[in-house]
Amino acid sequence: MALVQDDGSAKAARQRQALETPSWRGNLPPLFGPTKVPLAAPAVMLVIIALLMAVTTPNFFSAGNMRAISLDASLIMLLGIGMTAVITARGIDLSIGAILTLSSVAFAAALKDFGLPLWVAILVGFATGGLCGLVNGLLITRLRMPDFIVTLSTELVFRGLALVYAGGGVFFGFPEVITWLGRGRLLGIPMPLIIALTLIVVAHCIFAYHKIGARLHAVGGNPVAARRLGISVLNYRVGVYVFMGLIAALGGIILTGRLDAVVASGAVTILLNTVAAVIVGGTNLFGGRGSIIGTLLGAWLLATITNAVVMLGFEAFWQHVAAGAVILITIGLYSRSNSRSEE
Amino acid sequence: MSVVLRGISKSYGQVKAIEGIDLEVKAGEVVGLLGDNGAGKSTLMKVLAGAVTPDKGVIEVDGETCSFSSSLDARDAGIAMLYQDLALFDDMPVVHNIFLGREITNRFGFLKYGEMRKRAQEIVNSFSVRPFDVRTPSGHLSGGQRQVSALARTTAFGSRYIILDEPTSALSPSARDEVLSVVRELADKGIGIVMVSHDLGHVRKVCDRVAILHLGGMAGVRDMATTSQDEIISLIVQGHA
Ligand SMILES: Nc1ncnc2c1ncn2[C@@H]1O[C@H](COP(=O)(O)OP(=O)(O)OP(=O)(O)O)[C@@H](O)[C@H]1O
Ligand SMILES: [Mg+2]
Repeated sequence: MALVQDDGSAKAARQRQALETPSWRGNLPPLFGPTKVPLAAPAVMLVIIALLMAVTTPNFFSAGNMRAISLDASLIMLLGIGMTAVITARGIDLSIGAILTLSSVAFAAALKDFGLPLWVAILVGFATGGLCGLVNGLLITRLRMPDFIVTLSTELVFRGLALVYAGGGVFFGFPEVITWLGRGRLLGIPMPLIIALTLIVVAHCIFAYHKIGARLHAVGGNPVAARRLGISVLNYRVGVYVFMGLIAALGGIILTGRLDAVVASGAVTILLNTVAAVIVGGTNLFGGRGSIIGTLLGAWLLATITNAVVMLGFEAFWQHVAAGAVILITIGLYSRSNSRSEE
Repeated sequence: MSVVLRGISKSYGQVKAIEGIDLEVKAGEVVGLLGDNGAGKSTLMKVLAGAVTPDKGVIEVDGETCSFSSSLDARDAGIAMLYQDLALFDDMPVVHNIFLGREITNRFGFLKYGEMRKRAQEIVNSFSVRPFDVRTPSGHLSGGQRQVSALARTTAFGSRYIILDEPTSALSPSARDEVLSVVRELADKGIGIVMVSHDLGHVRKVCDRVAILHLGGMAGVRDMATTSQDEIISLIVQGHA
Protein backbone atom coordinates (compact mmCIF):
# COMPACT_ATOMS: atom_id res chain seq x y z
CA MET A 1 0.00 0.00 0.00
CA ALA A 2 1.80 3.08 -1.22
CA LEU A 3 0.18 6.28 -0.14
CA VAL A 4 2.17 8.55 -2.41
CA GLN A 5 3.14 7.85 -5.95
CA ASP A 6 6.78 8.73 -6.54
CA ASP A 7 6.76 11.82 -8.64
CA GLY A 8 7.99 10.29 -11.88
CA SER A 9 8.68 6.90 -10.35
CA ALA A 10 10.89 5.86 -13.25
CA LYS A 11 13.06 8.89 -12.71
CA ALA A 12 13.29 8.19 -8.99
CA ALA A 13 14.23 4.58 -9.69
CA ARG A 14 17.00 5.72 -12.02
CA GLN A 15 18.29 8.10 -9.35
CA ARG A 16 18.29 5.34 -6.75
CA GLN A 17 20.12 3.05 -9.14
CA ALA A 18 22.75 5.74 -9.73
CA LEU A 19 23.16 6.35 -6.00
CA GLU A 20 23.69 2.65 -5.36
CA THR A 21 26.46 2.39 -7.94
CA PRO A 22 28.78 5.31 -7.26
CA SER A 23 32.10 5.92 -8.97
CA TRP A 24 35.15 4.61 -7.11
CA ARG A 25 35.47 8.00 -5.45
CA GLY A 26 32.03 7.66 -3.96
CA ASN A 27 33.34 4.80 -1.86
CA LEU A 28 36.17 6.84 -0.35
CA PRO A 29 35.48 8.64 2.89
CA PRO A 30 35.28 12.44 2.70
CA LEU A 31 38.97 13.42 2.48
CA PHE A 32 38.86 16.14 5.12
CA GLY A 33 36.61 14.39 7.60
CA PRO A 34 32.92 13.79 8.28
CA THR A 35 32.00 17.47 8.61
CA LYS A 36 32.38 20.24 6.07
CA VAL A 37 34.91 22.84 7.12
CA PRO A 38 35.74 25.94 5.05
CA LEU A 39 39.39 25.12 4.32
CA ALA A 40 39.45 27.44 1.32
CA ALA A 41 39.49 30.57 3.49
CA PRO A 42 42.82 29.96 5.27
CA ALA A 43 44.32 28.46 2.10
CA VAL A 44 43.44 31.57 0.09
CA MET A 45 44.82 33.85 2.80
CA LEU A 46 48.09 31.88 2.82
CA VAL A 47 48.43 32.20 -0.95
CA ILE A 48 47.70 35.93 -0.85
CA ILE A 49 50.33 36.55 1.81
CA ALA A 50 52.86 34.36 0.01
CA LEU A 51 52.30 36.30 -3.23
CA LEU A 52 52.59 39.59 -1.39
CA MET A 53 55.87 38.53 0.15
CA ALA A 54 57.19 37.12 -3.13
CA VAL A 55 56.75 40.54 -4.72
CA THR A 56 58.02 42.69 -1.85
CA THR A 57 60.58 40.58 0.00
CA PRO A 58 62.09 37.71 -2.03
CA ASN A 59 64.26 36.95 1.00
CA PHE A 60 61.07 35.66 2.64
CA PHE A 61 61.40 32.35 0.79
CA SER A 62 64.98 31.67 1.83
CA ALA A 63 65.55 28.31 3.50
CA GLY A 64 66.56 30.04 6.71
CA ASN A 65 63.36 32.07 6.93
CA MET A 66 61.19 29.11 6.03
CA ARG A 67 62.79 27.20 8.88
CA ALA A 68 62.14 30.08 11.24
CA ILE A 69 58.46 30.11 10.27
CA SER A 70 58.23 26.35 10.57
CA LEU A 71 59.56 26.42 14.15
CA ASP A 72 56.73 28.73 15.23
CA ALA A 73 54.18 26.94 13.09
CA SER A 74 55.06 23.51 14.41
CA LEU A 75 54.47 24.42 18.06
CA ILE A 76 51.09 25.99 17.24
CA MET A 77 50.25 23.02 15.03
CA LEU A 78 51.14 20.54 17.73
CA LEU A 79 49.06 22.21 20.42
CA GLY A 80 46.41 22.85 17.78
CA ILE A 81 45.93 19.11 17.31
CA GLY A 82 44.89 18.77 20.94
CA MET A 83 42.84 21.94 20.85
CA THR A 84 40.99 20.83 17.71
CA ALA A 85 39.95 17.65 19.52
CA VAL A 86 38.85 19.59 22.61
CA ILE A 87 36.87 22.20 20.69
CA THR A 88 35.27 19.64 18.37
CA ALA A 89 34.03 17.82 21.48
CA ARG A 90 32.36 21.07 22.56
CA GLY A 91 35.04 22.12 25.06
CA ILE A 92 37.81 24.69 25.33
CA ASP A 93 41.11 24.48 27.19
CA LEU A 94 42.47 27.82 28.38
CA SER A 95 45.12 26.19 30.54
CA ILE A 96 47.47 24.86 27.86
CA GLY A 97 50.16 27.47 28.45
CA ALA A 98 50.26 26.57 32.12
CA ILE A 99 50.18 22.82 31.46
CA LEU A 100 53.03 23.20 29.01
CA THR A 101 55.02 25.18 31.57
CA LEU A 102 54.23 22.99 34.57
CA SER A 103 55.13 19.80 32.73
CA SER A 104 58.37 21.41 31.48
CA VAL A 105 59.25 22.42 35.03
CA ALA A 106 58.43 18.89 36.25
CA PHE A 107 60.58 17.41 33.50
CA ALA A 108 63.46 19.81 34.21
CA ALA A 109 63.22 19.32 37.97
CA ALA A 110 63.23 15.52 37.62
CA LEU A 111 66.33 15.77 35.50
CA LYS A 112 68.23 18.55 37.25
CA ASP A 113 67.05 18.65 40.87
CA PHE A 114 66.41 14.95 41.39
CA GLY A 115 69.06 13.62 39.00
CA LEU A 116 66.70 11.07 37.48
CA PRO A 117 67.58 9.40 34.15
CA LEU A 118 66.40 11.23 31.03
CA TRP A 119 63.70 8.74 30.09
CA VAL A 120 62.23 8.88 33.59
CA ALA A 121 62.23 12.67 33.44
CA ILE A 122 60.42 12.57 30.10
CA LEU A 123 57.88 10.24 31.64
CA VAL A 124 57.46 12.64 34.56
CA GLY A 125 56.82 15.47 32.08
CA PHE A 126 54.13 13.51 30.23
CA ALA A 127 52.57 12.25 33.45
CA THR A 128 52.29 15.83 34.68
CA GLY A 129 50.65 16.99 31.47
CA GLY A 130 48.27 14.04 31.41
CA LEU A 131 47.37 14.53 35.07
CA CYS A 132 46.63 18.23 34.53
CA GLY A 133 44.34 17.26 31.65
CA LEU A 134 42.65 14.64 33.80
CA VAL A 135 42.01 17.22 36.52
CA ASN A 136 40.43 19.53 33.93
CA GLY A 137 38.32 16.74 32.48
CA LEU A 138 37.09 15.44 35.82
CA LEU A 139 36.23 18.88 37.19
CA ILE A 140 34.25 19.60 34.03
CA THR A 141 32.38 16.31 33.80
CA ARG A 142 31.99 15.24 37.43
CA LEU A 143 31.30 18.63 38.98
CA ARG A 144 29.52 19.79 35.82
CA MET A 145 31.34 23.09 35.73
CA PRO A 146 31.71 25.01 32.45
CA ASP A 147 34.90 24.21 30.50
CA PHE A 148 35.72 27.87 30.21
CA ILE A 149 35.66 28.52 33.94
CA VAL A 150 37.44 25.33 34.97
CA THR A 151 40.36 25.80 32.59
CA LEU A 152 40.58 29.52 33.28
CA SER A 153 41.02 28.64 36.96
CA THR A 154 43.39 25.74 36.43
CA GLU A 155 45.54 27.96 34.20
CA LEU A 156 46.17 30.00 37.37
CA VAL A 157 46.62 26.94 39.57
CA PHE A 158 49.01 25.10 37.24
CA ARG A 159 50.96 28.26 36.49
CA GLY A 160 51.10 29.04 40.20
CA LEU A 161 52.42 25.58 41.03
CA ALA A 162 55.19 26.00 38.44
CA LEU A 163 56.11 29.38 39.93
CA VAL A 164 55.99 28.07 43.50
CA TYR A 165 58.48 25.37 42.62
CA ALA A 166 60.79 27.19 40.24
CA GLY A 167 60.34 30.78 41.36
CA GLY A 168 62.20 33.12 39.03
CA GLY A 169 64.89 30.51 38.36
CA VAL A 170 65.95 29.13 35.01
CA PHE A 171 66.74 25.50 34.21
CA PHE A 172 69.29 25.18 31.42
CA GLY A 173 71.91 22.89 29.89
CA PHE A 174 69.68 20.04 28.71
CA PRO A 175 70.94 16.80 27.13
CA GLU A 176 71.73 16.83 23.45
CA VAL A 177 68.76 14.65 22.52
CA ILE A 178 66.41 17.27 23.89
CA THR A 179 68.05 20.21 22.15
CA TRP A 180 68.15 18.13 18.97
CA LEU A 181 64.38 17.62 19.24
CA GLY A 182 63.93 21.36 19.64
CA ARG A 183 66.41 22.74 17.13
CA GLY A 184 68.02 19.85 15.27
CA ARG A 185 67.36 18.91 11.64
CA LEU A 186 66.87 15.77 9.65
CA LEU A 187 67.68 16.10 5.93
CA GLY A 188 67.55 19.86 6.39
CA ILE A 189 64.07 19.77 7.92
CA PRO A 190 63.69 21.05 11.51
CA MET A 191 62.84 18.27 13.95
CA PRO A 192 59.85 20.09 15.50
CA LEU A 193 58.31 20.30 12.05
CA ILE A 194 58.87 16.60 11.43
CA ILE A 195 57.27 15.73 14.77
CA ALA A 196 54.34 18.09 14.25
CA LEU A 197 53.61 16.95 10.70
CA THR A 198 53.84 13.29 11.69
CA LEU A 199 51.31 13.89 14.45
CA ILE A 200 49.12 15.89 12.09
CA VAL A 201 48.94 12.93 9.71
CA VAL A 202 48.20 10.44 12.48
CA ALA A 203 45.66 12.75 14.12
CA HIS A 204 43.96 13.46 10.81
CA CYS A 205 43.56 9.74 10.09
CA ILE A 206 41.96 9.19 13.50
CA PHE A 207 39.86 12.33 13.24
CA ALA A 208 38.56 11.74 9.73
CA TYR A 209 38.63 7.99 9.13
CA HIS A 210 38.46 6.26 12.53
CA LYS A 211 35.39 5.56 14.61
CA ILE A 212 36.89 7.52 17.50
CA GLY A 213 36.98 10.59 15.27
CA ALA A 214 33.41 10.09 14.10
CA ARG A 215 32.19 9.72 17.68
CA LEU A 216 34.16 12.78 18.77
CA HIS A 217 32.27 14.86 16.21
CA ALA A 218 29.02 13.30 17.42
CA VAL A 219 29.74 14.08 21.07
CA GLY A 220 30.38 17.71 20.21
CA GLY A 221 27.57 18.01 17.67
CA ASN A 222 24.70 16.56 19.69
CA PRO A 223 25.67 15.15 23.10
CA VAL A 224 22.13 14.05 23.97
CA ALA A 225 21.77 12.05 20.76
CA ALA A 226 25.26 10.58 21.18
CA ARG A 227 24.35 9.33 24.64
CA ARG A 228 21.17 7.71 23.31
CA LEU A 229 23.30 5.80 20.82
CA GLY A 230 25.35 4.35 23.64
CA ILE A 231 28.41 6.55 23.10
CA SER A 232 30.10 7.41 26.38
CA VAL A 233 30.03 11.18 26.19
CA LEU A 234 31.77 11.52 29.56
CA ASN A 235 34.72 9.37 28.52
CA TYR A 236 35.18 11.38 25.36
CA ARG A 237 34.95 14.67 27.22
CA VAL A 238 37.57 13.59 29.77
CA GLY A 239 39.66 11.90 27.08
CA VAL A 240 40.15 15.03 24.98
CA TYR A 241 41.47 16.97 27.98
CA VAL A 242 43.92 14.21 28.89
CA PHE A 243 45.02 14.11 25.25
CA MET A 244 45.41 17.88 25.28
CA GLY A 245 47.53 17.62 28.44
CA LEU A 246 49.83 15.01 26.88
CA ILE A 247 50.21 17.11 23.75
CA ALA A 248 51.04 20.18 25.85
CA ALA A 249 53.71 18.14 27.68
CA LEU A 250 55.24 17.15 24.33
CA GLY A 251 55.14 20.80 23.27
CA GLY A 252 56.90 21.65 26.53
CA ILE A 253 59.73 19.22 25.88
CA ILE A 254 60.21 20.47 22.32
CA LEU A 255 60.16 24.11 23.44
CA THR A 256 62.62 23.28 26.22
CA GLY A 257 64.95 21.81 23.60
CA ARG A 258 64.54 24.79 21.30
CA LEU A 259 65.37 27.36 24.01
CA ASP A 260 67.58 25.03 26.04
CA ALA A 261 65.85 26.61 28.99
CA VAL A 262 62.75 26.33 31.18
CA VAL A 263 61.25 29.28 33.00
CA ALA A 264 58.04 29.14 34.99
CA SER A 265 56.76 32.38 33.48
CA GLY A 266 57.04 31.27 29.83
CA ALA A 267 54.54 30.25 27.14
CA VAL A 268 51.94 32.92 27.77
CA THR A 269 51.06 33.84 24.18
CA ILE A 270 50.73 30.26 22.99
CA LEU A 271 47.08 29.93 24.06
CA LEU A 272 45.75 32.72 21.86
CA ASN A 273 47.81 31.61 18.88
CA THR A 274 46.60 28.04 19.23
CA VAL A 275 42.93 28.89 19.58
CA ALA A 276 43.24 31.37 16.71
CA ALA A 277 44.85 28.76 14.46
CA VAL A 278 42.12 26.24 15.23
CA ILE A 279 39.32 28.73 14.59
CA VAL A 280 40.93 30.19 11.47
CA GLY A 281 41.29 26.60 10.28
CA GLY A 282 37.50 26.33 10.26
CA THR A 283 36.83 24.32 13.41
CA ASN A 284 33.53 25.42 14.93
CA LEU A 285 34.01 27.06 18.33
CA PHE A 286 30.70 25.53 19.47
CA GLY A 287 31.68 21.95 18.71
CA GLY A 288 30.69 19.20 16.31
CA ARG A 289 32.66 20.43 13.33
CA GLY A 290 36.43 20.35 13.09
CA SER A 291 39.41 19.70 10.87
CA ILE A 292 43.02 18.82 11.62
CA ILE A 293 44.05 19.91 8.13
CA GLY A 294 42.37 23.25 8.80
CA THR A 295 44.42 23.60 11.97
CA LEU A 296 47.58 22.85 9.97
CA LEU A 297 46.68 25.68 7.57
CA GLY A 298 45.69 28.01 10.41
CA ALA A 299 48.93 27.43 12.31
CA TRP A 300 50.98 28.03 9.19
CA LEU A 301 49.01 31.17 8.43
CA LEU A 302 49.54 32.67 11.87
CA ALA A 303 53.26 31.86 11.92
CA THR A 304 53.63 33.33 8.44
CA ILE A 305 51.94 36.61 9.34
CA THR A 306 54.05 37.11 12.43
CA ASN A 307 57.15 36.52 10.36
CA ALA A 308 56.01 38.64 7.41
CA VAL A 309 55.46 41.67 9.61
CA VAL A 310 59.07 41.54 10.76
CA MET A 311 60.40 40.81 7.26
CA LEU A 312 58.54 43.83 5.93
CA GLY A 313 60.45 45.97 8.43
CA PHE A 314 57.62 46.84 10.79
CA GLU A 315 58.11 46.92 14.52
CA ALA A 316 57.30 43.59 16.17
CA PHE A 317 54.33 45.19 17.94
CA TRP A 318 52.52 45.28 14.62
CA GLN A 319 52.49 41.49 14.65
CA HIS A 320 49.50 41.50 16.93
CA VAL A 321 47.59 43.95 14.78
CA ALA A 322 48.31 41.96 11.63
CA ALA A 323 47.45 38.63 13.24
CA GLY A 324 44.17 40.00 14.58
CA ALA A 325 43.27 41.50 11.21
CA VAL A 326 43.97 38.27 9.34
CA ILE A 327 41.89 36.25 11.79
CA LEU A 328 38.98 38.63 11.24
CA ILE A 329 39.34 38.57 7.47
CA THR A 330 39.53 34.78 7.30
CA ILE A 331 36.55 34.24 9.54
CA GLY A 332 34.73 36.97 7.61
CA LEU A 333 35.48 35.18 4.33
CA TYR A 334 33.87 31.98 5.36
CA SER A 335 30.98 33.31 7.35
CA ARG A 336 29.99 35.03 4.11
CA SER A 337 30.37 31.88 2.03
CA ASN A 338 28.47 30.04 4.76
CA SER A 339 25.52 32.37 4.79
CA ARG A 340 25.36 32.16 1.02
CA SER A 341 25.19 28.36 1.05
CA GLU A 342 22.46 28.48 3.65
CA GLU A 343 20.14 30.55 1.49
CA MET B 1 6.30 -12.64 17.26
CA SER B 2 5.12 -9.74 19.36
CA VAL B 3 5.90 -7.50 22.26
CA VAL B 4 3.44 -7.62 25.13
CA LEU B 5 2.97 -5.14 27.96
CA ARG B 6 1.15 -6.57 30.98
CA GLY B 7 -0.20 -4.56 33.90
CA ILE B 8 2.18 -1.64 33.50
CA SER B 9 1.86 1.09 36.15
CA LYS B 10 3.95 4.15 36.76
CA SER B 11 3.45 6.98 39.24
CA TYR B 12 5.27 10.24 39.60
CA GLY B 13 4.82 11.10 43.26
CA GLN B 14 1.03 11.39 43.74
CA VAL B 15 0.32 11.37 40.01
CA LYS B 16 -0.56 7.98 38.55
CA ALA B 17 0.70 8.55 35.02
CA ILE B 18 -0.42 5.10 33.84
CA GLU B 19 -2.13 2.25 35.66
CA GLY B 20 -2.52 -1.42 34.79
CA ILE B 21 -1.97 -1.06 31.06
CA ASP B 22 -2.06 -4.14 28.80
CA LEU B 23 -1.00 -3.79 25.18
CA GLU B 24 0.26 -6.09 22.47
CA VAL B 25 2.10 -5.11 19.30
CA LYS B 26 2.61 -7.85 16.73
CA ALA B 27 5.35 -7.98 14.14
CA GLY B 28 4.21 -6.38 10.91
CA GLU B 29 1.38 -4.27 12.31
CA VAL B 30 1.01 -0.59 13.05
CA VAL B 31 -0.74 0.25 16.32
CA GLY B 32 -1.88 3.81 16.82
CA LEU B 33 -1.71 5.11 20.37
CA LEU B 34 -4.25 7.84 21.01
CA GLY B 35 -5.35 9.84 24.01
CA ASP B 36 -5.84 13.31 25.34
CA ASN B 37 -2.95 15.47 26.55
CA GLY B 38 -1.58 13.94 29.73
CA ALA B 39 -3.32 10.59 29.16
CA GLY B 40 0.01 8.80 29.61
CA LYS B 41 1.02 7.98 26.03
CA SER B 42 4.59 9.22 26.29
CA THR B 43 5.06 7.58 29.67
CA LEU B 44 3.87 4.22 28.34
CA MET B 45 6.15 4.48 25.33
CA LYS B 46 9.13 5.42 27.49
CA VAL B 47 8.51 2.32 29.57
CA LEU B 48 8.49 0.20 26.43
CA ALA B 49 11.69 1.90 25.21
CA GLY B 50 13.49 1.34 28.50
CA ALA B 51 13.81 5.06 29.25
CA VAL B 52 11.45 4.82 32.25
CA THR B 53 11.30 1.91 34.69
CA PRO B 54 7.70 0.93 35.56
CA ASP B 55 6.57 0.51 39.17
CA LYS B 56 4.62 -2.60 38.25
CA GLY B 57 4.12 -4.87 35.26
CA VAL B 58 6.12 -6.93 32.81
CA ILE B 59 7.33 -6.62 29.25
CA GLU B 60 7.62 -9.68 27.06
CA VAL B 61 9.52 -9.58 23.79
CA ASP B 62 8.80 -12.55 21.55
CA GLY B 63 7.71 -14.58 24.56
CA GLU B 64 10.67 -13.70 26.77
CA THR B 65 10.22 -11.57 29.87
CA CYS B 66 12.57 -8.59 29.81
CA SER B 67 13.46 -5.86 32.24
CA PHE B 68 15.09 -2.78 30.79
CA SER B 69 17.30 -0.61 32.93
CA SER B 70 18.14 1.73 30.05
CA SER B 71 17.16 2.43 26.48
CA LEU B 72 20.30 0.56 25.44
CA ASP B 73 18.83 -2.62 26.98
CA ALA B 74 15.64 -2.08 25.01
CA ARG B 75 17.62 -1.49 21.85
CA ASP B 76 19.50 -4.76 22.38
CA ALA B 77 16.14 -6.50 22.71
CA GLY B 78 15.16 -5.00 19.35
CA ILE B 79 13.00 -2.09 20.51
CA ALA B 80 13.87 1.44 19.44
CA MET B 81 12.16 4.75 20.04
CA LEU B 82 12.30 7.60 17.59
CA TYR B 83 12.17 10.81 19.55
CA GLN B 84 10.36 13.80 18.24
CA ASP B 85 13.58 15.79 17.85
CA LEU B 86 14.99 12.86 15.79
CA ALA B 87 18.42 13.34 17.39
CA LEU B 88 20.36 13.58 14.15
CA PHE B 89 23.85 14.99 13.78
CA ASP B 90 23.12 17.75 11.31
CA ASP B 91 26.72 18.47 10.35
CA MET B 92 27.48 14.86 9.54
CA PRO B 93 26.54 12.85 6.45
CA VAL B 94 23.50 10.59 6.66
CA VAL B 95 25.75 7.54 6.44
CA HIS B 96 27.55 8.55 9.65
CA ASN B 97 24.20 9.30 11.26
CA ILE B 98 22.94 5.83 10.43
CA PHE B 99 25.96 3.94 11.72
CA LEU B 100 27.17 6.05 14.68
CA GLY B 101 27.53 3.83 17.72
CA ARG B 102 27.61 0.71 15.55
CA GLU B 103 30.16 1.58 12.92
CA ILE B 104 31.40 -1.01 10.45
CA THR B 105 35.16 -0.99 10.94
CA ASN B 106 38.25 -3.03 10.26
CA ARG B 107 39.91 -4.59 13.29
CA PHE B 108 41.86 -1.40 14.02
CA GLY B 109 38.67 0.61 14.29
CA PHE B 110 39.00 2.45 10.99
CA LEU B 111 35.66 2.97 9.27
CA LYS B 112 34.83 0.81 6.29
CA TYR B 113 33.31 3.78 4.58
CA GLY B 114 32.51 2.16 1.24
CA GLU B 115 30.60 -0.63 2.90
CA MET B 116 28.73 1.70 5.27
CA ARG B 117 27.82 4.02 2.42
CA LYS B 118 26.53 1.14 0.31
CA ARG B 119 24.39 -0.34 3.08
CA ALA B 120 23.08 3.06 4.11
CA GLN B 121 22.14 3.91 0.53
CA GLU B 122 20.34 0.58 0.12
CA ILE B 123 18.34 1.09 3.31
CA VAL B 124 17.42 4.65 2.36
CA ASN B 125 16.56 3.63 -1.21
CA SER B 126 14.15 1.01 0.07
CA PHE B 127 11.85 3.79 1.25
CA SER B 128 9.71 5.66 -1.20
CA VAL B 129 10.77 9.18 -0.40
CA ARG B 130 12.49 11.37 -2.93
CA PRO B 131 15.90 9.72 -3.45
CA PHE B 132 18.85 11.36 -1.77
CA ASP B 133 22.57 10.73 -1.44
CA VAL B 134 23.58 9.36 1.98
CA ARG B 135 26.74 11.45 1.79
CA THR B 136 24.64 14.59 2.26
CA PRO B 137 24.83 16.18 5.73
CA SER B 138 21.51 15.36 7.39
CA GLY B 139 20.95 19.04 8.15
CA HIS B 140 20.51 19.66 4.42
CA LEU B 141 17.64 17.20 4.00
CA SER B 142 13.92 17.83 3.87
CA GLY B 143 11.78 17.00 6.90
CA GLY B 144 10.57 13.74 5.40
CA GLN B 145 14.05 12.69 4.37
CA ARG B 146 15.32 13.46 7.89
CA GLN B 147 12.62 11.24 9.31
CA VAL B 148 13.65 8.51 6.90
CA SER B 149 17.29 8.91 7.98
CA ALA B 150 16.29 8.48 11.60
CA LEU B 151 14.17 5.43 10.70
CA ALA B 152 17.03 4.01 8.63
CA ARG B 153 19.19 4.23 11.74
CA THR B 154 16.79 2.11 13.76
CA THR B 155 16.51 -0.47 10.97
CA ALA B 156 20.28 -0.60 10.56
CA PHE B 157 20.49 -1.33 14.28
CA GLY B 158 18.22 -4.31 13.66
CA SER B 159 15.22 -3.02 15.60
CA ARG B 160 12.13 -5.22 15.18
CA TYR B 161 9.81 -2.92 17.10
CA ILE B 162 9.82 0.81 16.58
CA ILE B 163 8.07 3.46 18.63
CA LEU B 164 7.25 6.74 16.94
CA ASP B 165 6.24 9.67 19.14
CA GLU B 166 4.23 12.04 16.96
CA PRO B 167 6.34 11.49 13.83
CA THR B 168 4.26 13.79 11.66
CA SER B 169 3.73 16.78 13.91
CA ALA B 170 6.33 19.15 12.46
CA LEU B 171 6.09 18.24 8.77
CA SER B 172 4.64 19.74 5.62
CA PRO B 173 1.65 17.87 4.13
CA SER B 174 3.72 16.14 1.44
CA ALA B 175 6.47 15.15 3.88
CA ARG B 176 3.75 13.82 6.17
CA ASP B 177 2.46 11.54 3.45
CA GLU B 178 5.99 10.38 2.72
CA VAL B 179 6.59 9.51 6.35
CA LEU B 180 3.25 7.71 6.69
CA SER B 181 3.99 5.57 3.66
CA VAL B 182 7.43 4.81 5.07
CA VAL B 183 5.80 3.68 8.31
CA ARG B 184 3.54 1.37 6.32
CA GLU B 185 6.50 0.01 4.33
CA LEU B 186 8.40 -0.79 7.52
CA ALA B 187 5.41 -2.70 8.85
CA ASP B 188 5.12 -4.59 5.57
CA LYS B 189 8.73 -5.68 6.10
CA GLY B 190 7.64 -7.30 9.36
CA ILE B 191 8.50 -4.58 11.85
CA GLY B 192 6.01 -3.91 14.64
CA ILE B 193 5.25 -0.22 15.08
CA VAL B 194 3.56 1.89 17.72
CA MET B 195 2.72 5.36 16.57
CA VAL B 196 1.67 8.05 19.02
CA SER B 197 -0.42 10.65 17.28
CA HIS B 198 -3.02 13.32 17.82
CA ASP B 199 -4.16 13.18 14.20
CA LEU B 200 -6.99 10.76 13.56
CA GLY B 201 -6.59 11.12 9.82
CA HIS B 202 -3.01 9.89 9.93
CA VAL B 203 -3.95 7.06 12.23
CA ARG B 204 -6.72 5.96 9.84
CA LYS B 205 -4.29 5.95 6.94
CA VAL B 206 -1.65 3.61 8.31
CA CYS B 207 -2.77 1.87 11.48
CA ASP B 208 -4.15 -1.67 11.73
CA ARG B 209 -5.34 -1.15 15.28
CA VAL B 210 -5.72 1.69 17.71
CA ALA B 211 -5.23 1.75 21.47
CA ILE B 212 -6.79 4.61 23.37
CA LEU B 213 -5.58 5.82 26.76
CA HIS B 214 -7.78 7.81 29.08
CA LEU B 215 -6.49 9.36 32.33
CA GLY B 216 -3.73 6.79 32.60
CA GLY B 217 -5.93 3.75 31.97
CA MET B 218 -6.59 1.73 28.82
CA ALA B 219 -9.94 2.88 27.45
CA GLY B 220 -9.98 0.34 24.64
CA VAL B 221 -8.24 -1.34 21.72
CA ARG B 222 -10.05 -1.45 18.36
CA ASP B 223 -9.47 -2.84 14.90
CA MET B 224 -9.27 -0.01 12.44
CA ALA B 225 -11.46 -1.94 9.99
CA THR B 226 -14.41 -2.31 12.36
CA THR B 227 -14.36 0.88 14.42
CA SER B 228 -15.71 4.28 13.59
CA GLN B 229 -14.41 7.78 14.00
CA ASP B 230 -17.14 8.55 16.55
CA GLU B 231 -16.30 5.53 18.65
CA ILE B 232 -12.61 6.53 18.77
CA ILE B 233 -13.42 10.09 19.68
CA SER B 234 -15.69 9.15 22.53
CA LEU B 235 -13.06 6.73 23.84
CA ILE B 236 -10.54 9.56 23.81
CA VAL B 237 -12.83 12.09 25.43
CA GLN B 238 -14.96 10.01 27.83
CA GLY B 239 -12.89 6.87 28.23
CA HIS B 240 -15.77 4.66 27.05
CA ALA B 241 -17.79 4.27 23.88
N1 LIG C 1 8.87 13.09 34.61
C1 LIG C 1 7.65 13.35 35.13
N2 LIG C 1 7.51 13.83 36.37
C2 LIG C 1 6.31 14.07 36.90
N3 LIG C 1 5.15 13.86 36.26
C3 LIG C 1 5.22 13.37 35.01
C4 LIG C 1 6.46 13.09 34.38
N4 LIG C 1 6.22 12.62 33.13
C5 LIG C 1 4.89 12.60 33.00
N5 LIG C 1 4.27 13.05 34.11
C6 LIG C 1 2.82 13.14 34.31
O1 LIG C 1 2.25 11.91 33.90
C7 LIG C 1 1.04 12.15 33.19
C8 LIG C 1 1.11 11.53 31.81
O2 LIG C 1 2.05 12.27 31.00
P1 LIG C 1 2.46 11.86 29.53
O3 LIG C 1 3.58 12.74 29.13
O4 LIG C 1 2.71 10.41 29.48
O5 LIG C 1 1.15 12.22 28.70
P2 LIG C 1 0.92 12.21 27.12
O6 LIG C 1 -0.25 11.34 26.89
O7 LIG C 1 2.17 11.89 26.41
O8 LIG C 1 0.52 13.72 26.84
P3 LIG C 1 0.75 14.63 25.52
O9 LIG C 1 -0.29 14.24 24.55
O10 LIG C 1 0.53 16.02 26.02
O11 LIG C 1 2.16 14.38 25.04
C9 LIG C 1 0.84 13.66 33.18
O12 LIG C 1 -0.04 13.99 34.22
C10 LIG C 1 2.20 14.21 33.45
O13 LIG C 1 2.11 15.44 34.10
MG1 LIG D 1 3.52 13.00 24.97
